[in-house]
Amino acid sequence: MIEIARPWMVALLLALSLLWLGMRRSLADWALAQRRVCLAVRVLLLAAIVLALAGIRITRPSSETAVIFVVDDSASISPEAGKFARDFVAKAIAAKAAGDTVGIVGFTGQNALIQPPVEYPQTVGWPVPADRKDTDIGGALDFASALFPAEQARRIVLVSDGNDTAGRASGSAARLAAAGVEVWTVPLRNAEVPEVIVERVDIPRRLKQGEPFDLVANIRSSVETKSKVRLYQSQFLVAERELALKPGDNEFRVPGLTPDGNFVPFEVEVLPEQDTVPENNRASAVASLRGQPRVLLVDGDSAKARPLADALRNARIVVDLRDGRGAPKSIDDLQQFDLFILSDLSALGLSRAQMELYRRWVQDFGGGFLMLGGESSFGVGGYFRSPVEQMLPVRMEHDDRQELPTVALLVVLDRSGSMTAQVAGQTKMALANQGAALALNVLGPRDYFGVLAVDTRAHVVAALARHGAKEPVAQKILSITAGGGGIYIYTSLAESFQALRDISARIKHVILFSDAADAEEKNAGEQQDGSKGSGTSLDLVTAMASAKITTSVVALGTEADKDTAFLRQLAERGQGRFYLTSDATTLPQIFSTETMKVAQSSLIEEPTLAMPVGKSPWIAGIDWAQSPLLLGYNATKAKPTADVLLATERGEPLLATWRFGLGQAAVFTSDAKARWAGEWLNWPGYGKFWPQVVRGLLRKSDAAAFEVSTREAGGKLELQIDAVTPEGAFRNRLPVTIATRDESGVAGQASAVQSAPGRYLASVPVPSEGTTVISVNSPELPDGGIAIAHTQSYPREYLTNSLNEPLLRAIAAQTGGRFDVKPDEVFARSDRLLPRRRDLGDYFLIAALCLLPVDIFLRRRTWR
Amino acid sequence: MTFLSPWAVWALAGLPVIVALYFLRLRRRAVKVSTHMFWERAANKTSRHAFFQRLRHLLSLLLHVAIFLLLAGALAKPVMDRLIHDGASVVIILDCRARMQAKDESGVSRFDRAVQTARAYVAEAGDRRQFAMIKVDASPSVAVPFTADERPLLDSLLNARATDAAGEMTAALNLANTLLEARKGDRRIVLLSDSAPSEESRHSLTAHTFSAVGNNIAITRFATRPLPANPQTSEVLLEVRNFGSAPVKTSVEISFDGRPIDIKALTLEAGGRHFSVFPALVKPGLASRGWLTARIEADDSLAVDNLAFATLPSARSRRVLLVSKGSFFLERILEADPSVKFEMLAPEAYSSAIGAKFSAVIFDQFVPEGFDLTKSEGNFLFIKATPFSSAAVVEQPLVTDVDSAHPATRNVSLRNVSILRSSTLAVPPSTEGWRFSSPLRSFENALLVTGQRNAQRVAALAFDVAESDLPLRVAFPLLISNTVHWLAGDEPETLPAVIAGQTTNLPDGAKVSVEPMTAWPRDGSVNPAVAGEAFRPMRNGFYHVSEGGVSRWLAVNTFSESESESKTTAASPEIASLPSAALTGWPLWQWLALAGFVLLLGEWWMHHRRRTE
Repeated sequence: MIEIARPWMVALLLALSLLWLGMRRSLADWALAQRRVCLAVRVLLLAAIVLALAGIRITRPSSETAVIFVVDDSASISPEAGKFARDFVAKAIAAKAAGDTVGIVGFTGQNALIQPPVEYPQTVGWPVPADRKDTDIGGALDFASALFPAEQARRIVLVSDGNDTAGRASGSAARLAAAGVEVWTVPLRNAEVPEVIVERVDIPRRLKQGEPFDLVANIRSSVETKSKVRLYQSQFLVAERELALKPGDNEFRVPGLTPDGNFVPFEVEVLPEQDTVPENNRASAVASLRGQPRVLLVDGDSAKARPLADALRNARIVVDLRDGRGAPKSIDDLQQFDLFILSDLSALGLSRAQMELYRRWVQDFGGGFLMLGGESSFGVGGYFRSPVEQMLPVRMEHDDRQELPTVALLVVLDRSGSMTAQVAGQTKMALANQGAALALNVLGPRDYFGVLAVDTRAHVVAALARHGAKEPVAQKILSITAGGGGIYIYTSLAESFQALRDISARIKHVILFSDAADAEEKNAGEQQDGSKGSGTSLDLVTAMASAKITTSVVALGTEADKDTAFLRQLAERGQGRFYLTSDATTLPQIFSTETMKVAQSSLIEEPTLAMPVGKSPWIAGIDWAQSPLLLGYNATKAKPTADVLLATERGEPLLATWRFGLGQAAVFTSDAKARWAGEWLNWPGYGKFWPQVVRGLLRKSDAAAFEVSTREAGGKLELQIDAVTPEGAFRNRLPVTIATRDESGVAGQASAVQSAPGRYLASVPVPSEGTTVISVNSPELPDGGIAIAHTQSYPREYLTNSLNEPLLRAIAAQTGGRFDVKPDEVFARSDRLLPRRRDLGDYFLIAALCLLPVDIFLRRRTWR
Repeated sequence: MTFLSPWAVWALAGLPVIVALYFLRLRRRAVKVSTHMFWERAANKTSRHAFFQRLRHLLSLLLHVAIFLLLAGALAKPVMDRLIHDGASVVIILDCRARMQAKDESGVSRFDRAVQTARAYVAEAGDRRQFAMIKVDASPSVAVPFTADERPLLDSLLNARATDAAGEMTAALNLANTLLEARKGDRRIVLLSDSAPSEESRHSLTAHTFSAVGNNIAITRFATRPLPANPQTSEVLLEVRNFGSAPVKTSVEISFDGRPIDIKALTLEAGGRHFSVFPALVKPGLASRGWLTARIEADDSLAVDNLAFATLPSARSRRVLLVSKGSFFLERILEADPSVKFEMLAPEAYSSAIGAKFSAVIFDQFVPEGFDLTKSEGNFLFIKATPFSSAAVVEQPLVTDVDSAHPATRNVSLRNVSILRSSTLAVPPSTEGWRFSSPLRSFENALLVTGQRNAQRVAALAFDVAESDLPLRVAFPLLISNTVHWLAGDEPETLPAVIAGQTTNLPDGAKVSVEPMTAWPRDGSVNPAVAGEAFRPMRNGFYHVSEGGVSRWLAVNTFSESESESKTTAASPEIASLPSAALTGWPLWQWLALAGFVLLLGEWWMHHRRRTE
């Protein structure tokens, strides 16, 4: 068959007509014969040049084959199988026909050109690769495909066990198929030798500190053999067991492991009696523990909360024990913890902003909250109608308790001009009014309540009476305005004495609210000019106390104020309590606390048993029948959707919980220290009960919000990070960073790129052996981020030495090749006949060169 | 100057023959005279013109010598290169990455210019100067092995196209170096790309870089994902970048199945980026293809990145059987899921033959009599009554662990779910091919057990959903949908989109179209389907994938900032020299042969006009 490389050159043949034109009317003295012969020769000469320029070549179909042997030399190939491979290649070459080309490539993870493609290969030595820990079949096929000479049928003979560790053989086969390269495969079967492999070690993906789990290792054996299996935790032997291995998969399970630390390496080692390859007798896994559970325990007297802290610490829970001054003031502080336990700390030690912060943390950030009882907790602690009470599963009122004594409470409010000052957007008067209104709400329907607003004289805002409808009274109280002169103490007390004296109530009490710097009329009839009447306020309040009318004082100011000492003395004489605060926003809590204390409504100091009323893991496994008595508790009432798990003998909630927003809140209305739970401290159930409760309350890691999946590819670990909100929406535009550190201390950093809604991609390099800790961080996620560990126990090369026949068959099928061929079949003529071209350009030029002397001779010879 | 066929020097041996023919065979011209009177005259005239006669004679000789030398020179294949005395091996690396589609001011693409230069090189192919060609797209591949024949090289160049794939040049240089390792004589690499390589080459490297218009705007991200909370609704991510040095105003047209549905006006600073995530305005029905395209209206250097493709998940209906006496929540949730075609059956009417007709069977508080998992065929979800339940009951179990990596509980937030009671599930040991796991737990108690043996799957939920507040949660439809689709064998978000040039493993038996389809077809190519596991698309668009009678679309895009960055890194001038063929159009030997051809014609004309003798 003829081909023309540059067909347009053939057009030059048209120029041959110029010869005829040139010869017309010729002056040359040529005979006719000479004319004809010379013309013919000149035409041939020029035609030869044109054909040379046009690139005339002949093509003929050729079945000559170029075969490149691609021979696996990785560690999974036994010496016997390696020898088989070399013998196979030698026999195949011996059977090749003339014209066929042979090349040899050896490969592991790298490729070695043993014999470039030639027709007559020389005897070559087979170099032993230094690194045999990988098998990259795809890379070897790609490399071999580049070596083929042109114009021969291209065939690769892959001699391998098919145990590819790079994972790109299929893609390479597809490329070869598209390029018309056949891949014939020769399976290398290792001899049946005893082989025991620790195939994998399974542990749960995510664990919490102290959470027990089972470690399961899969040990694959080719023979029945005895073995000794060891488990190392952080390189310390923690378990050793004799295991009779059966052919196939064998399970090695170690239950109830509770590791310490964030990343705990476990290694399983098998010591079989029969084995061949020792490299695969160990496998590792790293337990990624999601930070240790951290609990913040704040108690008004932190020393007394130590037993609870110790019990939790014994259960591997990290406890930060603080006194009231350490109560968190910022979300950053709270975010360090999974649970906040507030134990017997008065609300008076907290600002309203702090309490609001705690509520938000539970509701919006999923924190856990537990309030423990005590004399400064719940209602008596001033939490009535506070943001904290909103998130608790119990209410602090007691309106259904019939047996409580009747209370007559008179609140005396300073409505002097100094009360108009603004605090947190409200006047001091308004905050005091709220406190008085709260006090009304604390009291029951059988209690008497009245309010006097006093400046230079007493104004009755609410007469001392039983108020069936509290709301109109509360509105009256809230509408008190300031504006008069300083509070007249004596007048206030006298009015109070008069009002309470004839009331039939078991408890009669006055709450006097005064500006600590502006208390007037300390004595009867004392005027601004210093003149005095008869009797003093102190005497009067003493007389009231004698008449079983007690007086507490709430002073707004500081110790340095001029009337502070007087007001304190007034409270002492009145057998009440003295509250001094410079923060008017705490006034509502102070009033409610004082009222609770007066009414004795929430503090029950009588022995009670803890009665389980619900079934829950929180209280499971504890013999409640043997639980000691608790000596007191705060009386509360469960909110409608609360889960009451323990109750007092009176049926009031002792342990109750509910979900609040994204978090979980709970109360234990007794305490966990010596005051009420003294007998519990030595009870074995104490050390079991509290960790169980705390674990149930710990902030749950919102795993659904941030999921990381990994895929190893070409020495890199590809991370796919899915960020989803708990509501099932995508988190977009997150700055996601990845930090890595491998066993040798090599650190790396990468940024993830958002590739789709809620999806981020990153790639980090990982070593082929050992553990790499990967931290995926985003400051905008609730948990900040997560850390995972990637472990490669040993090179995958050692994972198996059996034949991966499906892969070899698939490669052959994909490329139109054959599986399991014999040496003498390797050079079988291909069905694909390729055109073999031979360029005739030089021949035409030579012909032209030869014709030129002839042309001259013919012209110069004598024709006549 | 070097001769590729130095043996042609032997042809010079023919030169003395030509000279000898002139001197040994003096040709006398015959002159006819009518009488002897003119004979002497004619003889005198001849002697008077002897000088001119000799001159004509000499000119003829010189012409023939020149022709001979020209032809001999052509045969010797001279090249203007002194480095190939021992032969030469040249590897041409032709950059076929997407960036090569960028056009210069005259509207010619970098790729076309690269091919033009490559043609000039391969025209010099010969026995002593063999060429191989590597084409680089997502990865390098040998397009033509070493050959002395320009034809396969020219054929390869004729068929070469710039792809839509992104890639790196390093692997190509390594491959070229590897190819040259086994060669003798002068070895060199000719790189035809838009940028000079940053890596060192082991062999001589000649780099030709081709510039393009500087400004380019590109869609660098365009992707959709169904919302976990509401899989029937998708969100769309769009990122557009301005790679130019001046701010631009443009617009992005969003189309669904080829019909415009939205236009977004953009103003991008120089080097600026627009990033937005917005809900897809449409939900594909059963008849729609789900094609979502974004197109920038811009006259910039690279057009391929002005168009991006994504697919909205099309409704893929699965037959699900609910075996129940009536479950309000389950019925509602299955009815509301358009990807499920659910039927309900009373427990007493159930038989394994009926169950076999469905992708998944949900047993609500019912376990078929004599049910044996090891012998059963089908995919089952048991609720409350399960083959794994024991008599023990857990009151108010807390959800303490959710394996978010498991397909059944992926994206499911079960925090603080209240459950009245649950049965105790025993997670079976992984034997007889089954592998069991517990993706949902309350402390040590499994609330959900899942098992898989090859394609068969089973799940067991330990509690009655009606005895929990789960139905009131966003998580409920997601948990049921996830579980049902996992049972039915659906992999989550399989192959929604891939990057051009990347190899994607298709499921066994899947067929994929050879060429992409777009709403704006670039050519009229036919689109047959081929079967294959490894699918490596080189052009952007929508590819049709059929698998087991189910059709879906696969979106392929470039999405490479390095490809869209159209600025050129210039090659250093001393190495970027063109082959002589590029300067002359043809190789030198052809010029010599052509000159010989022309001289032969000229000499013929002169001879017949008696200018030569």
